[in-house]
Amino acid sequence: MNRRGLAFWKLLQGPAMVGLTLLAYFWAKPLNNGFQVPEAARIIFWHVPMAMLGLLWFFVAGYHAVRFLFGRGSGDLRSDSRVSFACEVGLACTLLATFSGMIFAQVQWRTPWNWDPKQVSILVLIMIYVAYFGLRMSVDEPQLRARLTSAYAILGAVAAPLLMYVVPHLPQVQTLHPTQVLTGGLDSKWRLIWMGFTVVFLGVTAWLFELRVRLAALEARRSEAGDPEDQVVVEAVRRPSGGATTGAAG
Amino acid sequence: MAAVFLKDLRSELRTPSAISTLGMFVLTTTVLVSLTVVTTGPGLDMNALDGAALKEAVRTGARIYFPGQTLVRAQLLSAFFWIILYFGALTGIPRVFTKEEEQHTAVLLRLVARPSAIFAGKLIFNVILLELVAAAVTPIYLLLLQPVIARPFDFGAHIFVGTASISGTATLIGAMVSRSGNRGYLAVILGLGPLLPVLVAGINGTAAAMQGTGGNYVLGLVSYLGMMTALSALLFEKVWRD
Repeated sequence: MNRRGLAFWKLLQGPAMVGLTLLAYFWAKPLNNGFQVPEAARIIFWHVPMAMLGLLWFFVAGYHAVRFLFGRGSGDLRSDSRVSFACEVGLACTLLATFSGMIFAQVQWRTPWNWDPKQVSILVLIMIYVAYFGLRMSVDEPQLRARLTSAYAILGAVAAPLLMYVVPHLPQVQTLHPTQVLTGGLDSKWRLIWMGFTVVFLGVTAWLFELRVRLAALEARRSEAGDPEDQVVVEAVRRPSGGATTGAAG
Repeated sequence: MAAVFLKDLRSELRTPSAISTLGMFVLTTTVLVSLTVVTTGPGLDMNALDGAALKEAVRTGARIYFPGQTLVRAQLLSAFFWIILYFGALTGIPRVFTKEEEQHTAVLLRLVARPSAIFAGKLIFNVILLELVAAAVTPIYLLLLQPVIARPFDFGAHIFVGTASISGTATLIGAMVSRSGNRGYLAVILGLGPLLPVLVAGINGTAAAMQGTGGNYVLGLVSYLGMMTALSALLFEKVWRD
């Protein structure tokens, strides 16, 4: 039915995730350079891709917002839904990155929060996402809501890179993040697994995003067709033996 | 553009709403902060340093710029100033737009003026409004909190440019808030992301000006002001039209 429904990259994600997890625990040896608990270094595989994807999906939201406001076919509410779905996926990623980071920080530095620049930047990113949904919830009219929130998404996407630059200049901020582990000291096994996880998580979030878009399309079609309860009755009368619609299980 | 500005000015002079909200908020908070927060004492006041630390400073040849104030105190007082200004701006400036919606004049304004002219008029009005408030509150702040300021010109320049930056972005956010159902509190949340760079630069800039140390962010603030104003002008039309 759906031509993208069986795309092989989705089928590949299950085995890839299992394989990478096995590799992460049995192939990659715990890191001793600077980690309190060498086993805890495996956070790199999970936490770093999530933080990167949190920012990436934010820019995806900005891209769809520009398309909605200025692109060809501007005013298309489907673009607006894409902005909000990208923000949902991005917010999930940033929250997961934050919580996994806090657990790691408790193990590594004996405190879940130490005003690290990365913590501050991700906190501000979460605040922008939350503000986006706050604005979204306070407007009822769909076109107006779409215009306001898209404008805010663009404003946020422009400010976000600058925030990454200015946050380390905050007076109370000092980094403890072992950035040198990622940039130089990572051995080839770790680097390979880490990159693999980044690609797989990108795939998972892209899949999530696509499912959200398809769900919205189905909902739109259902509400176009009228009240769903009535629709069931109408269909039952017309085709007593008719099957369920495909796609709902997608 | 000039017409929009003059209309807002006359309206504000007749029934002050934005300036009263903004001015009262900023004044109350400044007084409250100066009453409640301890800004002198060990660690804040260099006179409170013990002998060893003072001797060490003398031995290393480090110039003791201002015996009355440590960097911690400078940053603390700067942070207060900008936080007060931020909250004041984002509660006061949206009034310029919510007033139009409340008095049902927004529809008429949409009919008679181009969005760019409205944005420019409102922007100039807001910049002047916030600059006036900043100019009024700074002497009170200086009097009550008594920061030691090594480079008054830099201090003033950061406040002048930072205030303009805040009002530029706050104008767009005010327009957004006035069109949404919740009036008021939303602006403070929406403004944080886009305005944090201004606040960081402003806090560091005024603290450096107080201590006489390096760190001048005026140029950075001017470029951010230019960039954000251009972006706001571009987005305003989409937010404003019906």
